[in-house]
Amino acid sequence: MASAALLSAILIATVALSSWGLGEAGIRADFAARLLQPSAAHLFGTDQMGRDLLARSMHGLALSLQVGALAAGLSVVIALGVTFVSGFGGIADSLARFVTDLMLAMPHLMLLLLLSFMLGGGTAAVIFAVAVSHWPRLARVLRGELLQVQSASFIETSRALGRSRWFTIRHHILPHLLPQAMVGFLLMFPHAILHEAALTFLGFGLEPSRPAIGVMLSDAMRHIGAGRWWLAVFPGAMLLVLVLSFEVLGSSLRRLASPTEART
Amino acid sequence: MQMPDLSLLEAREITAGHGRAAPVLRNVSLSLGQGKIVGLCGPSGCGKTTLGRVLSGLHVPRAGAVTLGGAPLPKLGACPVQYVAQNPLATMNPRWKIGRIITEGLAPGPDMAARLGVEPGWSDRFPHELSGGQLQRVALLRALAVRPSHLILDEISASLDAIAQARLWNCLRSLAETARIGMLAISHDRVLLDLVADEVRELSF
Repeated sequence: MASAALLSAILIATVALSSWGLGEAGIRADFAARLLQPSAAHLFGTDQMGRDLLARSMHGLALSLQVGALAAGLSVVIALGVTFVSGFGGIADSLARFVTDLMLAMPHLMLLLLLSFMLGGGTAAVIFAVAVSHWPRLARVLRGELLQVQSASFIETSRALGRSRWFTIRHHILPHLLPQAMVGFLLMFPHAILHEAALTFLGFGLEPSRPAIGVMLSDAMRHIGAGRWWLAVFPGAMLLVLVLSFEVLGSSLRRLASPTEART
Repeated sequence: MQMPDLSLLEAREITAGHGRAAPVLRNVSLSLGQGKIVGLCGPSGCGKTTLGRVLSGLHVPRAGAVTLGGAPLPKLGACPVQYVAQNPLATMNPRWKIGRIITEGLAPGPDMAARLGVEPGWSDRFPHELSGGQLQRVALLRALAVRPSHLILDEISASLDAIAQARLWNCLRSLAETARIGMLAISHDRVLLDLVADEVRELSF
């Protein structure tokens, strides 16, 4: 498990850093090398504009990472905010729970499309749409953790020893919530990346000029019928590998975040 | 006019329970002076732990009042009535090391740690790395560090062997006398209470 997590981390870091290393490769068109099959010179082949598909896929994944990080980060902030409101209990908790359930009741792909369309598409719209549609599940997990910690005996002991409510929040409750939020962030990442690609594929996401995986897959659809399979297979497979890497990393972190599981 | 005894912990006409269920304690009264050990025994489920928690301000009774020296227990600062639970592991943050747990209220003196047999080497360990008996001594040391006037000891020696029990109760007896701490020893073991307590109260359904 640990070696798989390490491999995933290395893979993700390689993708994240590839944009700088590759420079203009995969961005600049070369019409003399249009639609070449995979070969030693172009491992993943080239696209209809003669761009190297391996380099372009790496650019696309790096872009997906940026969008995923911002969307998942914003989503975690919203989830933590809603959990904080829940912490007051009573009406505040009921209200936070109602809003969370309401958001969960909506089909989130539909919500994503509506939000992205409403905001006119583009990178910022995708980030906002993914963030707003993905926080409720994490908020529910965090609320459960909050309730569990709040009712723990060590909290009442801390208060009996003279510690303030603020102290217990800072030193007992938050350190229990933050690892869960971190795991939630990592597990939300693949969702965010997949939804970014889906939105872009459907034409509601990133600008067509950007080297996004969704744009590449959407363009590939026009060439699949002509037998240019590599245009869709390689970017799609790389997206899948990146998403699975995050799943492995998130699951490993979840084990570490729980002291009882970490012991085993 | 008679002055109130400032060291007396009193529970008067306590009725207490959990949730909407029928109360486990009905009109129970008890008083605990300083420097004495009072034993509290009774069958399982008769409300011994609930009474201990009420006395230490951790459980709000449905009726009745708890007073220390005639006044209600203070709401701010360390509670002068400390409760030492039957399961000490649950009262310790699993992410904290023992050194931090012991000093959560106030730092105890090294002599107190030595008297209770708490070794300095435990400081770097997590609670789950200590045995039940070791954890119980840590919990006692943490409670004693805030210099309470009274201690509620809920089945604290149940997880110890006979020799460790004898050493612990000897230590607590001498603390009760020298530091003038009033102690309520809760146990279902009447024989043990007869040995360690100055008087024993029986709680029944």
